[in-house]
Amino acid sequence: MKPAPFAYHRVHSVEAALERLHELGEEAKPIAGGQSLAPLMAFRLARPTALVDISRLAELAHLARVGDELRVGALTRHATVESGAAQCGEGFEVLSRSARFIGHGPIRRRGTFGGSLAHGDPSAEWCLLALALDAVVIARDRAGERAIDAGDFFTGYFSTALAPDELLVEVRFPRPRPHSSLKEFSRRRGDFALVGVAVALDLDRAGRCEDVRIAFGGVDDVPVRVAAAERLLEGEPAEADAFRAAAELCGAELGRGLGDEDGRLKRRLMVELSVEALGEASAGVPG
Amino acid sequence: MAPCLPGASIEGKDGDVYTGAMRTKVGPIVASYRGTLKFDELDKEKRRAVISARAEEVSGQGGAEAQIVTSVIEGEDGSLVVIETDVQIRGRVAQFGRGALEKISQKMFADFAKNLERQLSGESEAAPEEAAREGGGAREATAAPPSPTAADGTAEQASLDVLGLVGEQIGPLARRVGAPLLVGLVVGFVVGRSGRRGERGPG
Ligand SMILES: Cc1cc2nc3c(=O)[nH]c(=O)nc-3n(C[C@H](O)[C@H](O)[C@H](O)COP(=O)(O)OP(=O)(O)OC[C@H]3O[C@@H](n4cnc5c(N)ncnc54)[C@H](O)[C@@H]3O)c2cc1C
Repeated sequence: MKPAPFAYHRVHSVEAALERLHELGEEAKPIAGGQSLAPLMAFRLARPTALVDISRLAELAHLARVGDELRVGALTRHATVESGAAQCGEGFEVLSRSARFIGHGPIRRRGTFGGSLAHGDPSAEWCLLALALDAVVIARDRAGERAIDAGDFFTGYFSTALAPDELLVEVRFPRPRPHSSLKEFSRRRGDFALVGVAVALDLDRAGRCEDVRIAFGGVDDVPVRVAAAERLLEGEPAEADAFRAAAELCGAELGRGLGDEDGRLKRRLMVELSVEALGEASAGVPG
Repeated sequence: MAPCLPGASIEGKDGDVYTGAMRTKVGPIVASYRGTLKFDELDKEKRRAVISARAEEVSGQGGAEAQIVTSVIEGEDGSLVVIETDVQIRGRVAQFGRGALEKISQKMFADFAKNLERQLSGESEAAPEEAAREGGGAREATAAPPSPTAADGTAEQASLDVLGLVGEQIGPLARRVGAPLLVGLVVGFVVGRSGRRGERGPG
């Protein structure tokens, strides 16, 4: 099946892209790596009347540390993050390590960080990590920039806080989180996760957990944190028993509505994956 | 029924069969259907209705069949509307991206339930979209289940129980309108084999 007809505009600057999007209105869409939008259009599930191709905007393809903060340009490819542990610097290893879960090689070479967030799939790796690492999304329109907390960014299935004439330009991760991990289960390699979990925590000198984040994907229309389980771990020793208790609480909180076979599987996955992720996070970066 | 379904319009009536169209949008995904809706059973006293719907995709080879059973359980502090649906979706769309359509249907019926609740609580004006999405973003999973009754009453048929999902969407709304009314929604999807296959598709 072929996509419905659409107009195509390639732009060479962010300003030009924003002008175009504004002038073309709601039915126009930016296209970056095309790894989500193109299949949707091929199936005619999405029928934008115009595409604004931002894929060549080199000014948005950065990956750099600014002090504690890691700044990921919207057009940074998944593959760049995967091989970019050095650019990400200490404390952001989880990003490079998790990139390999995204689709396959060709998808990772084309697909973009910003595109993944803007697409807002509730089981996408970058969406989960944005939430777990307290990322801030920088959006720009003709009037200027605004910062949106990851926790406010995802609004529903494939829906975000971005306005139609706004571009996601950068994602900022505020500080290194050496104790973080992402675990997921998918039925086949390269598939989107059936359930995924991203965790981050700090350890005090006595080995107790602080500032815990536990975020799940694939269990709701947006990635979700489980505040009760995060609180439960606060101040607890980073040990298997505490992790198990928190994981069980996650399963109980989120698995509540899931009654059928699929739901039971998801619930079990939530528990086992978060036990694993918390264990890995507390152990720190593997050698 | 149409006023409860966002993007739906009733175009004609032939006996107890209504013809209509429906357009639904989830992020970038838009699906348009045209079809018929029939009340197989309508018991005003018990406030129970059995509705069957058939629809064809406007520009595609796909289609959908649904059976919707709505009933009202009177409780001490309000009514509980229980909506059970079995949706079967055919066509390419059904095979796409981990059942994207399942999700569209989920949202559709969640909207349906919200609107129904609004009507039942006597609110004439449709509340602004944000209200329903109140607190948006990545919500923390703290919402209480809407009611155990909803689950008990309908669990056997439901193959996918999205009470949790809907409970979260509806919880804040119910508080906002201040009506002691809960809407429980159990969507039983029988998407069949094609839907399962769809789980492996690209996103
Ligand atoms: C077979 C397959 C398997 C995949 N598996 C996974 C997986 O396991 N995990 C995963 O996370 N992803 C997976 N993907 C999706 C992939 O990661 C996409 O690259 C990503 O979701 C979207 O990035 P993109 O650059 O390709 O965006 P596009 O497809 O170009 O755009 C996606 C959406 O975002 C909007 N958009 C893009 N960039 C911007 C911007 N800068 N500002 C505002 N809006 C923007 C577009 O308008 C569009 O609505 C898979 C894809 C395929 C085809």
